Amino acid sequence: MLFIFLGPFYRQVLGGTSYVFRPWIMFTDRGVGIFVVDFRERKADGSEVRIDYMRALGYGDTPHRQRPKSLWRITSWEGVLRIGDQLCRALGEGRDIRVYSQRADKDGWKVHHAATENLCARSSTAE
Amino acid sequence: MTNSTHRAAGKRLPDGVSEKIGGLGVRFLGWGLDYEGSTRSSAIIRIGLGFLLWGRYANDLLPFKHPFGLETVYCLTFFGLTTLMIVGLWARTATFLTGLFGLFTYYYVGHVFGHEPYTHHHTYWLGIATFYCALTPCGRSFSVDRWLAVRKAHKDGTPPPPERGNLLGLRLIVLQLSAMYFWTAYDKTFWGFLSGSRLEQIFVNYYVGSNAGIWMKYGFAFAAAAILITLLEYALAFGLPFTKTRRWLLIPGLLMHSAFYVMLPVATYSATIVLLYLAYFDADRVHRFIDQLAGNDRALPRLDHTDG
Repeated sequence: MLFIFLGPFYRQVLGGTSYVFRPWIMFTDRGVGIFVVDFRERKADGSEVRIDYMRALGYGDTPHRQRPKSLWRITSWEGVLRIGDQLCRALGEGRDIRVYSQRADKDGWKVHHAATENLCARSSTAE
Repeated sequence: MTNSTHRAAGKRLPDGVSEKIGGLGVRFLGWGLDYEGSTRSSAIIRIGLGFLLWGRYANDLLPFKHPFGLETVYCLTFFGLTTLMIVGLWARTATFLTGLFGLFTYYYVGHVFGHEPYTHHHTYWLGIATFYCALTPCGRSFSVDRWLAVRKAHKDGTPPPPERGNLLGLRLIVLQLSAMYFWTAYDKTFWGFLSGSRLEQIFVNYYVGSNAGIWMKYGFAFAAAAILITLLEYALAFGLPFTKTRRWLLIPGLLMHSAFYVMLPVATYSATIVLLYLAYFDADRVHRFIDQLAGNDRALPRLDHTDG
């Protein structure tokens, strides 16, 4: 009985690492690190219109699981920037595309980016 | 410190406390070690675990998928033992060896050898639950062993052997379930989960992806679900072992595990736990229920025991 009840205590409270004792932690890391992104086009009057980036890149009618993984589940800021570049190319020159992004952390969502720069200006500078 | 030591130091435990603690301890040990009843519950668990083991491992352990040699022996041992366990031939021994096999798979193949998919909670449950099941006479019901025993009794003109025995293994399953519920609820007791964020992140990961859009407006629903799940798991830990509280918690527990099974990649976990819920119920009541279903109204002798 001690093994049943105190084994997890050793792992989960004391931070022990011996695999002999089973901790009851499930899905601890699932979803951690994923980005949720909201691409918006900023108009001249300052208003913003949300862009469904999947639809803008031609995957609007593609079933979820058949969409490219790099688009469906973004797990890095570089991945966000790559999609921003693709959107700028797809939507044409002169657009002001911004992104609001949150990153999944074990303690909750963390704001990662808050539309501070025009991604298309960044793209054209890079070229 | 003992009572006498306390008295010597000028301190006294209130009268009767140590006797009450001792009495509770004796009752608890009796609840576990002296539990005797029908073997039908443990037989159903035996058969169910056998099929769940097949569901989890059979595809992985097809012999043609492994190089010829020790791995072939490992694979064939799995199929041989689980078949004996399911049909109930040398059932208790087969179940015991299958339990050892399951724990070997979890500890050695999973952790020592490094095959990560075998280190999860569902594989641990398959091993440990099978081992606990072997601590009951799980072959005395619903088995080839039972059929052979009844046939022999008919030949000898004697009554068939009773489907009864010591059910310590079922008590250990109950304790293991309570420990699991408590510690998994403890693991969820932090802001990141209770705020709903972790549930939302898991939902985004599996269902909607990074283009979550409108789904991010339902944080309140995820928070409510997170708090409900955590409270339910704490309640299940303490309430399921007792008849009076079990009647309120059984359906919510089953619904929660059903939701996990359908919505998340939990492999055999939910199905295993639902099967093991049978261990909570008084084994003699389960026996009578099965008799009623079969239209057999023979009454079992009632023993003087408690079921928690």
